[in-house]
Amino acid sequence: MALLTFVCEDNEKQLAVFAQIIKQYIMIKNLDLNFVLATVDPLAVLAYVQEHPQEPGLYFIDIDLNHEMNGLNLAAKLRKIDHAGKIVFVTTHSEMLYLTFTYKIEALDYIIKDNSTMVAQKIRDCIDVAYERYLNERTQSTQFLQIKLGDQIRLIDQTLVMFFETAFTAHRVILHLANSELEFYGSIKEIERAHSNFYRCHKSYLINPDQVKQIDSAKRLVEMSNHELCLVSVRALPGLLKLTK
Amino acid sequence: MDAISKPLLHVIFLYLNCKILQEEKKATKKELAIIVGLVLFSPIIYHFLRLSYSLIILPGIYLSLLTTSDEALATLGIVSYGSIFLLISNNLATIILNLLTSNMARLSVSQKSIFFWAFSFSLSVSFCWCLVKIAKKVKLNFNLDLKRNLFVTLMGFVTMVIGYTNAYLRLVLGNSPNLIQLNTLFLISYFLISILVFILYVLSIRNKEEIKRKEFEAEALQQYTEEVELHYNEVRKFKHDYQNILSSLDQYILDNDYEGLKAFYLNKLKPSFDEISKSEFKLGSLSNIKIPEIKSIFLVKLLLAQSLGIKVQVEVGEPIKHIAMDSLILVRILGIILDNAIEEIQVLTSEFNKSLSIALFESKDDIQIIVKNTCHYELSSIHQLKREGFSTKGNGRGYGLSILSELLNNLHNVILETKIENSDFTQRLIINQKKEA
Repeated sequence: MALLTFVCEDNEKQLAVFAQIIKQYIMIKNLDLNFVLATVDPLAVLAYVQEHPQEPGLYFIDIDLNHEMNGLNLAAKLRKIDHAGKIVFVTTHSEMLYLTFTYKIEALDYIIKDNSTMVAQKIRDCIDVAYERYLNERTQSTQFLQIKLGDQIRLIDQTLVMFFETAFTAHRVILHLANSELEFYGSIKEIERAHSNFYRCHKSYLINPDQVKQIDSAKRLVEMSNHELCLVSVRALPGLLKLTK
Repeated sequence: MDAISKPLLHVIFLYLNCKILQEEKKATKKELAIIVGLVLFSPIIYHFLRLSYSLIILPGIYLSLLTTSDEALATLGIVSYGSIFLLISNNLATIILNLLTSNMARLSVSQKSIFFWAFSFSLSVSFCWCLVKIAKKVKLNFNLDLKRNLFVTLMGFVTMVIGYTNAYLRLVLGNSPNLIQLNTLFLISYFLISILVFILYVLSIRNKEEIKRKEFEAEALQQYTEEVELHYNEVRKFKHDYQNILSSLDQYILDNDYEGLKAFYLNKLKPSFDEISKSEFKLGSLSNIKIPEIKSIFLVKLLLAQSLGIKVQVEVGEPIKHIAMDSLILVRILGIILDNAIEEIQVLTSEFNKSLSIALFESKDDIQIIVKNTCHYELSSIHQLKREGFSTKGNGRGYGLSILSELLNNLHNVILETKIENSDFTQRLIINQKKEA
């Protein structure tokens, strides 16, 4: 199954240029990419993806499409169907919405078209990154951790989890990832019950044994791969040593 | 028998009352040691000092409570209110007991004292518990408000002194049931009046805060208008320039002077592209926030940031009409987050990029608010950022973050995600719209 590639841009001249750059690059590098559509009509992209919901895509989308559906709406709709899709925004400097692209759409990247000399190179870079991620996702099936936030469920790659920690107040848990943390409503006990691959090394800590960097048995501390420290109880120490041996 | 149990129980009950008012379930070893000492020695102190033994007991309890709290004033208030409740309960218990014994068969002295302590215990505990619950209902943290209001603490303290003097005089001058009833009535009415005054006081403070908030909004609006006017002038200037440019283009084309056109494009037009993106009105999209309080907190803080030479970026793509939480709490949360961000950017040395970006958008059932600022700290410090009193900026600051966690803890539909990546500190507030706390 090839990675499907789409371009949606309202300026026909730019559309042709982008399509040309992409087609050429696929040919030169002989990538397993299928160039599907270069269009001015966002609904055409949406229609194709709705018919082929199982196939992952790489989308280059202009923000201002001169259509009642703008690029951001199109991307949000595509994201609902194609969760793993790679979305790249093509935009002018003044339309740039960096945080919204990153956090709302989880866009792969963005290309600023004001500077025409950089555009071709940036498109090629995006194809490389998207292709690499696509290959990675195809070979390994990642296990996801489900976190309930109200009525919503957020998926987090289990291998990236460092540890869970009880928060100051009851019924709150802090999840630590490599460089971020997330506080949510829940209990360590429930998480421990649902995911046997984590280890309860202390009353207030549930750690991912794969991310342990080193254990200080004397001080009863465990250092995770991101240098954060967790406490280890006397009772849990032998089990942890065995697990990480 | 009574001489031993009375001071002993007095200390224990008073301590329990204070703990309830303090809303603190845990006790330190030091604290317990002082209490146990007081309990053991209280009969002896009572034996020697008789009625003035409270002069030792009360400071003792005060000291022991201080070991868990660093708020000397708030703790004084707690001890005062705790002992007032115990005093009132003791008197009420005496009255109830008098009523009961006149109706029922005479009880023995020890039975009487058991009844007495059972009554006063349950009364005082329920008084304290009710006060804490009521305070919570009207969204006051008892502990917190005592901390802020010297007045309320002093009122409690004076009431306690009057109450104890009253009790002391009563015991010295004689202890007739009528006198007790009269005293209790007097004390209760005094206390009710005090509470009424307290409530009026809090309400007046609230009004003051409301007025302050309105002033703050008006000021923000004023600044915003000035900013818009400035921008409007820029647009007018641009329009003028644009017309000039078009007419010169016209001239070059009509003359078929393509060399001249090329030179004009490269020298005049191209540089002006940069000018256009530079003079952008950065706060314009804030107009998409339709909640005045939220818009004004962003306006004030972002205008402040701009005036400090920070590059500000705002992204509000679509109108935000409703956010499923108390907007005053959200304003406080945003105020802390933005203040922290601005402070952090300010300590950056000039080799760093100084920028602050915010975004608001709706995704599925959530509203997300993102604040991103450049920063200098290392990844490992994120762990400590939320700890009380800890701040990378030195001692005494950083309380904002612990207040932030405190505010967030009561909101079940809100989560905060913090992230440090490539010297960017990002805070992401996710508010679930379907499940309002």
